[in-house]
Amino acid sequence: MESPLYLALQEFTVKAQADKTVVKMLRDWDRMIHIESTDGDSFTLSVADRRVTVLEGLHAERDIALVAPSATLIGVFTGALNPAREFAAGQLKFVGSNKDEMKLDAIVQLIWG
Amino acid sequence: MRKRGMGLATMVATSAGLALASSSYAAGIQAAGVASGLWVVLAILVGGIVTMATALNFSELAAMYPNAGGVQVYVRHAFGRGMSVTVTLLYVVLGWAGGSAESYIFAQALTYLARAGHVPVLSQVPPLAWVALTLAGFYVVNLFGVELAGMAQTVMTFSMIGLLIAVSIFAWTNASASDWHGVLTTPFPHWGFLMGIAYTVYMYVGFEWITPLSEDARDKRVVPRALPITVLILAVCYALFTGAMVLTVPLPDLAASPVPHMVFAQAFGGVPLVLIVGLISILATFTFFNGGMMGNSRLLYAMAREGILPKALSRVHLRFFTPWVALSVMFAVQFVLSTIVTLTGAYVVPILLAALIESFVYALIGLTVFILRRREPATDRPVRVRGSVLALGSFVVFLALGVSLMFPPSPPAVPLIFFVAGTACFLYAHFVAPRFEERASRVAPRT
Repeated sequence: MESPLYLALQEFTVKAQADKTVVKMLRDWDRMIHIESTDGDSFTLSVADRRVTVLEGLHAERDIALVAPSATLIGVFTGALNPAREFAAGQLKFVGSNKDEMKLDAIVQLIWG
Repeated sequence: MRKRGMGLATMVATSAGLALASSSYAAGIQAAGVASGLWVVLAILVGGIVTMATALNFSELAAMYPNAGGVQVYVRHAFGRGMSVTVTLLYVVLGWAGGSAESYIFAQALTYLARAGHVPVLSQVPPLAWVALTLAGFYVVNLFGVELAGMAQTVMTFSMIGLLIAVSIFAWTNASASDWHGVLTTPFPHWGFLMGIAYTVYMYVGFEWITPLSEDARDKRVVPRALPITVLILAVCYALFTGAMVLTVPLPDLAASPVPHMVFAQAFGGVPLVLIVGLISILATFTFFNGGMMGNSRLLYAMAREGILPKALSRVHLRFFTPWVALSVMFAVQFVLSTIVTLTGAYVVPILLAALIESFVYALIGLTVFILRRREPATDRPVRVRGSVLALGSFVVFLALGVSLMFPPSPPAVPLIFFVAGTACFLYAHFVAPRFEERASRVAPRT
């Protein structure tokens, strides 16, 4: 059975692929994004050739990592939680460059408003 | 699988680059004015020792919470959300104050450089135009998201430090007997010495802004180690260079100019030294604004994303991926403030205002460490100085330094602006921000 976090990530990738602006933003932005749950399964969001796919486990060398409890990660990827607040509260860790952080946040804003 | 992050040298260079500014030399001379000549060297070193205590407090907190949150996270854990937002807003005010002094002094340095280099076209450019060009240049660089690579930052900062130390040693070793006699016969200034230490707080402003970079470091010991090392380097550089200026050029001549480092270079080494010190000044302003303007706009952006500030400030440029609205607001406010400072020439006010705000932030950080040791005794502390003397001591000392900055010879505008800005930040954080947050949380997510 697929975990709630996996389903949340799948939902996120579907929404990302359906948004033309997001797809445009993914041009020349091939990244391996580790989604590291502190209390459950971890996944990798692979961004390559403007396509986002969810992979089980932590694959290859990561460019970005998001580390948080599963509930926080699910909340962030379903739009139920504000990632900036979780980050400021110390619930969500971001590892990566400033530019990647801004780009990911811009994508989240485009999808969830 | 983790990529290599920032090493100790890069982290020290980033921290020192944020603190080393052209306006720091003017602050040093203002400190010499109240601390009587060469006593300023001792004041800078004592300032460095007490700032070292703060650096160790920051080290403990950065190792405790290496989650890229910085001061606002530490203060939130100890005092709650209202105080955290107040301090974050005060940091924005501090950035504007420092930026106003820096842009004005940099403009004056460029004018001085052009005149010394006998470049008539450039020497006739009015200072306000230099201010506008400087700020606009950094605005565009930040808008396009151009970031100085770690290696470039390291090379630039250590070149600047090397040049500063070399010029200083040259001046110390070539000072005449009459220079030495003049400064060594100055009596100890007592109250002026305390004021001098308070003035030197400005020289260290910004060294702690690397705490949000903990997650970018190669390992979690890098930031806690970099902080005290940076303070030590800054203390030595500032003490040597300020001492060199005071030793070789009459203090009234230095104090009469917003660019005492250029006056010193002209008087002591002529055009060649003016060019070298001018280069140091350009590098200092570049490293100051490179991190400062972007860092401050990111603070506004992050607060807007949290729902504390208007949502418009959270807009991201979809081509350059920079917070363009926050950056534009930062630039606009900075330009207005810099224009006021340029037209009035009152550069000492923003310098002392920044020192005052930073003194209270450092005091608060000491208290934060003390409170969190009691409230969260079980939290892992990879870095910890035994006992509470350091934490409570830095709280008391920086509180005293902050209070002393409110009295003459500080201009009355310094405490006045501090109280107005502090009250506005406090009221906004406790009464306006919660409403923004409530409104933001009422917006149902699209699921």
